[in-house]
Amino acid sequence: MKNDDLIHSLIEGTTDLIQSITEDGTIEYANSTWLRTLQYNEEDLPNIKLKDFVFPGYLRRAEEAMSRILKGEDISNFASTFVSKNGNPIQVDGRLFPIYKGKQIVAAAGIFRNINEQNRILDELRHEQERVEFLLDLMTHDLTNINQEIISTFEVALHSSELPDNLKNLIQESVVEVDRGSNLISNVKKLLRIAKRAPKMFLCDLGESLLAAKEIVERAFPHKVMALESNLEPGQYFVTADEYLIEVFKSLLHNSMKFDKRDRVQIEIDVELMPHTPFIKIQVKDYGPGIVDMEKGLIFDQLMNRKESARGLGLGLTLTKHVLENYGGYIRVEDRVEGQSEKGSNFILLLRLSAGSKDVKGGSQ
Amino acid sequence: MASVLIVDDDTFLHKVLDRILSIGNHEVVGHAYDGAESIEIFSELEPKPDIILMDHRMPVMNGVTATREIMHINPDTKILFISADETVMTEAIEAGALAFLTKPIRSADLFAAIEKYA
Repeated sequence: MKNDDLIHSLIEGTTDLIQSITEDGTIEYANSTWLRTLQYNEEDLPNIKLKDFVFPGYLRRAEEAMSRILKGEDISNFASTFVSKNGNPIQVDGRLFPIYKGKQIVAAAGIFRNINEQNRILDELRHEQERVEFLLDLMTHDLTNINQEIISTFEVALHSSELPDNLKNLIQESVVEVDRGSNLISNVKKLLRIAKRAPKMFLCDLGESLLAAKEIVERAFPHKVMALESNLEPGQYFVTADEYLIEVFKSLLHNSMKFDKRDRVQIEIDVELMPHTPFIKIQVKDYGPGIVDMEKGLIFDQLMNRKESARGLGLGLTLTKHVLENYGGYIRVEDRVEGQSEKGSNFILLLRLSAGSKDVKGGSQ
Repeated sequence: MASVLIVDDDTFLHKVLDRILSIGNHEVVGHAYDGAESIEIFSELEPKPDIILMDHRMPVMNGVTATREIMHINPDTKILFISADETVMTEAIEAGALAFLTKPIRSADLFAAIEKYA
């Protein structure tokens, strides 16, 4: 096949709209997809001007683009709306570039995709997403209110002196279960907010965040003791983060307290700078039941892996991973004692340090 | 002991909060089931309650708007938000609430907040 025939076949066979417009705004060429989409015949072409096929609100932008092309510019990602002979709007997206004859620009070429269907699907998706978010918001809000009623009712019952001990224990366990449900709802809401909002970061004190999380988690386990050993002090290291940094420590400490069935739960937090990198490494080690190897990769994505693991379905670790990724950080889990998962876990976090941390070259002292 | 006005559209929650607050030796002096009603009841109450426990998402008028109105009527009013809508925390504080307690709240935390602010 000759080159000209090949090019002609490709141009006429494509689903893209291809056009060439001369300096006076007349269409000198349009491929069959262009003609079919805009419902014109080849005979119409000499009489069609820009204003005839560009939707009125987009005409000024199209004229400006034409004049730039005729000065030699090349415009990619040009979005516009055309209008067919019968008045149907057609959203397009494509590229405009000059056509040369020798060194002289003689026309402006355009290759466009019809994105009507794509936009319709996007609109539908957006609409469905809004509907799901609305229903989820309604559901989480009402479930929280129901949990409030249940917890308050249990608390009233627990204050009764006539309540037998066995029933008291049962109600106390039920309160913990309702708390678990509330925690799940709270984490779902936080995940939604993190996904939706623009990040609003500020300088956060790692040591302060750890202490705040410790206090919250201790309140959730009034009958247990958290024996926390840590070399992380307030005012020592700072990271660029947001209010969710506390959630990271909260989630890890909460898990350690929850899964270690002893009354005194031992947790070690070991922090060290990673030389020649902007990262600080935080290891959170517990003495709980640990995580078997096949679950290690799954526990941070409970949204995808719905099979209940030893770590439950609280979404806390999923939230932790999302939060850390927002900060440009990482998390993984290893055995506290290598190869012996039953001896507890070691959650390893990498966070980007901010200037202002002590012990950091260039940081304020 | 503090006198308390409860504002929440959840009628069952009024009952349990009544009991919880009486366990904590506090007295419920009024019940309102939406923001507009809270303004009406607050205006009528004499003496004014020591604390208003305010929900946010309610019919007729939400808690943030009601807080603004009540603070306009009496800037010394002490309002504690108890809501599941954490996203309105800043708005609630800016409207004049002293604290924002996220539902579900435990009685110990509720008593601690009332003692701190009443």
